[in-house]
Amino acid sequence: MSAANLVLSDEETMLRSSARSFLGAQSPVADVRALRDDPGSAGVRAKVWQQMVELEWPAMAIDDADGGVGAGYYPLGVIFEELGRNLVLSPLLTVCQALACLQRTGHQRATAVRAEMLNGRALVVLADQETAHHDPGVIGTRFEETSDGYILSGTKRFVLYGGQADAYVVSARLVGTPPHHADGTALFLVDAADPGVSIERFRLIDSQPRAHLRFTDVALSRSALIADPKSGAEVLAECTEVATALLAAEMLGSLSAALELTVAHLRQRVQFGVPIGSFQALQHRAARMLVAQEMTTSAVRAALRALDEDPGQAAEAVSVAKIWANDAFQQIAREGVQMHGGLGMTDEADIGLYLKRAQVASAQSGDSRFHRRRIATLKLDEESSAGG
Amino acid sequence: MPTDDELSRFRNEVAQWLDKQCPLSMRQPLLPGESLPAGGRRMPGVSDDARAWLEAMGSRGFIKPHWRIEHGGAGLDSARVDVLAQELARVGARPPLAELNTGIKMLAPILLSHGTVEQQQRFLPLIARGSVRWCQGYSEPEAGSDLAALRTRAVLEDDCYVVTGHKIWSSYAHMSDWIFCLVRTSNEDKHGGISFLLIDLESPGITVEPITLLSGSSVFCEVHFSDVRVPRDQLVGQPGAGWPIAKELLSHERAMLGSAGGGLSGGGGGRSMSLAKLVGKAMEEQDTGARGALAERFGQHLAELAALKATTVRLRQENRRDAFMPSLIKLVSTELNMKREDFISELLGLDALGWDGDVAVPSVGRAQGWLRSRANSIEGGTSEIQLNIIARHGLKLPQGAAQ
Repeated sequence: MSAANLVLSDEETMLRSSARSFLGAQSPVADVRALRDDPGSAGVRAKVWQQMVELEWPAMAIDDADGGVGAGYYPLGVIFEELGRNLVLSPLLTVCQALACLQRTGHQRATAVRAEMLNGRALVVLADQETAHHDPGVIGTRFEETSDGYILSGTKRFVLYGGQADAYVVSARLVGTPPHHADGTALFLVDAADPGVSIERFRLIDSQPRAHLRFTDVALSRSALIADPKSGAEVLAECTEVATALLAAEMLGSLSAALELTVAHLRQRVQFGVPIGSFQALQHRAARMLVAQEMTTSAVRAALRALDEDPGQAAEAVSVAKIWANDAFQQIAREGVQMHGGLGMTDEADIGLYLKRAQVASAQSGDSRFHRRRIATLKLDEESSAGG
Repeated sequence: MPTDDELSRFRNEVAQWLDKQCPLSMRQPLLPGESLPAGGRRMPGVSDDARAWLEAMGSRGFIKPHWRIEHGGAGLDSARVDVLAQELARVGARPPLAELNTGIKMLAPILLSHGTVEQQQRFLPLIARGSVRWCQGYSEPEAGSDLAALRTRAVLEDDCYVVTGHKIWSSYAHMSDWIFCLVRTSNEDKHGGISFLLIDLESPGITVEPITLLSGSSVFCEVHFSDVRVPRDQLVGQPGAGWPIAKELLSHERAMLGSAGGGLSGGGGGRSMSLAKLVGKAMEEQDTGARGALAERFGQHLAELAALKATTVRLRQENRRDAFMPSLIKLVSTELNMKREDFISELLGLDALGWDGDVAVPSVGRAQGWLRSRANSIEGGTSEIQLNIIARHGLKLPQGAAQ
């Protein structure tokens, strides 16, 4: 098997520079502070989001037969890198994840909702997480079948843009199925306005809007089911790989920008009569940051290629990318604050915004501990099934 | 581009030639413990068939078939080179010469960019045929990371440089025929007083001694020069122009070491599989808490290996010429190999630490492997030197006072 192509084509390089100039003009890093401090903010600039929809970014990886662009996740990753560079606040990640779920189902309602999402008329996000740590095995939300539909109850936590969304893709398990059995997980489309849905809005330190959602005996029609208990677990797993890889790409952009900020500071800041970047103690740490950035770049691109090839076989590459993105972003953001000295602790310096984002993004879609265990298990299973 | 007719004629010609020239034993894979010849006048333990095959391939210019004929190659275009490779693969022929060849990988590019026409015609064919083995004379006891502090003197007397000094860490000097050396032709300028000299190891006044390492006997040697007379036409480049040549050669060396990656690249899959077996076995012996920690450690190793592989693939595809990239790959691959050795040692406990005795043969090999790996972050430029290069060329940070 030939090695996957990990370079950017001319077209992808052009996509990158047009995304960079658009976001540089419309969504600079300073916007994170502005949106954070605006009491009426919905956690996104409506105009910027509208333009993202017009640029067809949500549609980028959706098949053209389904109304998308059909370009795949590799170029979409290029866009996420650019979003990450400016720490852009937008629901694009969770929307892409919800779209990945809806793409797999042929249901009429899903098709209609997907079309509404792609033209920006509906905001639909994924609501799957229930615990403070990412753990796809934990689904406490339950549903049962009734004569004309379903009843759904449970709690989803840390839902991105959960307070702004029109509807949610919600994972739930059939009442009575054992917890770790593959069958029994289904996905439902739940309107935010449905009776029995209550929303608690809040933000974490990275200023992205989130919500805890409580579903109390929410009555759903048959058309709300978008993945049945036979296929729900697989659909959910695939869209989780998508979200994890895109988040890793976004983090790559963020950590690259944080590295650039820090290196610029090392060149400019003079102490003891010389730029502090001439001190070997700092040079070696900064060099290690560049090593981590280059390694993360390769890991992220390999994961996106693996997703485009076969999302069912991408788990290892995606975990490798998330481990590198987590560890490199945390290393660079922490070292960045340290190397900025006192300035790095002020709200005025951008490096602190990257530190806050690093902390949240590393915990989202699985911390390094989670992903290290996951690839170790995959490798050991592969080894023992090969006859050890 | 040659026509299909010409290519098929060439293919027949090669096939007939191979039929006659490639001994049957050279069409078999290497046996355990067997290795490919390293070339040169001294090749202990190399079979008659292997010598004949090396001689046949070398005299036909087929070891470096794309090199020019006057340089010992066969002057073949890339289409014919491909045909030759296909025909060699078809009969299952072994490579006639080991891959990591100091003459081919390190010296030849320097002769091509800096040597005179006479030097190229004199030395390249012997390199291309594998008939002369080269080693490197760079480090000295007082000039390691600060290589430019070297003190081996070369004083011009009539038509000869007279060389006196002491080189260290010359790999395989005891098996080599020639050595390329950095020597000091002037004391006035630290970097500007360095010259690049080619020396026959059979010259009077040279003694070579192998070095014993932590891990036992090694391929590293010390080379002493005492009033060794070297014809002045064996100086490459101008006198005093040796430092840029030396740095250029070091980047070829790092590329070679990085591609070998402490044996990581290419063999990576197989090596990680044996680690997986060890981890799997250790898992069975541990309680649940320890298993989680072990899985995390193994997972981290797999993530580092996967990203290193992806990075070497990406750099090759991007065709990047950044001066710091060989340093980055060298740094990461050697550190990863050392971590792997540490991990295995930890998994095996005392079983990994045998030194000698009747029962401990596999264990002794393991301990030697672990001890030897400690050199990975020192040889070919320490990790600290690589970090200097990455900071300067990758991040454009200003040079400090002591660098």
